[in-house]
Amino acid sequence: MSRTIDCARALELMQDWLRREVTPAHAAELESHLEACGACRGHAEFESRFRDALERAAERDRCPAETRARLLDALAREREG
Amino acid sequence: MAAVAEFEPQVLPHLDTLYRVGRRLTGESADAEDLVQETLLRAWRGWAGFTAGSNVRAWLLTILRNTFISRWRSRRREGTPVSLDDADPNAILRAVQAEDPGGNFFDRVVDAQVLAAVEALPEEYREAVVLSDLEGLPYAEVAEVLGVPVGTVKSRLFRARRRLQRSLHDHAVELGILKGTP
Repeated sequence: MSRTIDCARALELMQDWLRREVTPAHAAELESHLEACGACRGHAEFESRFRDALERAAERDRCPAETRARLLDALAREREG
Repeated sequence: MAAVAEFEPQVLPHLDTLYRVGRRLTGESADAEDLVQETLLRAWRGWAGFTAGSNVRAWLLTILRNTFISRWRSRRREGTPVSLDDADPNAILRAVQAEDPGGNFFDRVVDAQVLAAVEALPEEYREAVVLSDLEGLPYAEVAEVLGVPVGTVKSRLFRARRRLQRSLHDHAVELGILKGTP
């Protein structure tokens, strides 16, 4: 049985929980709070959508092939030199 | 000490990460390329000093950031200065959530706008968000690259996130995705 936490504590734990950087005990406390609290569930959904938007934006952005080729050339020149 | 033959297999898998972080730090693709090139050359020259088995991504990102600070920072336009808004980040959140508590509008903001909002952050917030939220580095690795305690990383991320949420919210209002509260 996990300890009951309030909304302020739930918000403190939420970011670490969303990143899976939370201890199992804290995760259990937060999850049991989320089951009982609609406001914090909504907040978790909000933060999670926001994280997804950031991750999506980052994934789309890769080093272009021409840039990669120029970088490898520069590195090869340095290694030979 | 790291073996010469290990340089490329260890370093090149992180090229996309270096490029993306460079792009967000400098704000320009040409500058990002120069920054990554300088980073790779410095990494090659310093490779003998890299401890085999330690975190090569954090090591490379630290070189990239130091290179950025010494060569680029002074030239880059600064983001909006830290303002009074930061005094109550939760007030920002309440305003942003007022109309769309579940944050559905985040799904409708285009990637380019998200990246532009990140680039407009003050540097101290921007680098934390880029490493943590965009690249997915764990707190400890972000702290290592930035040379600050984990608690500082968390507090910068907290404030940076509120600013970004507000900026994306305002953008959604401009686009008519949200009505905006008068």
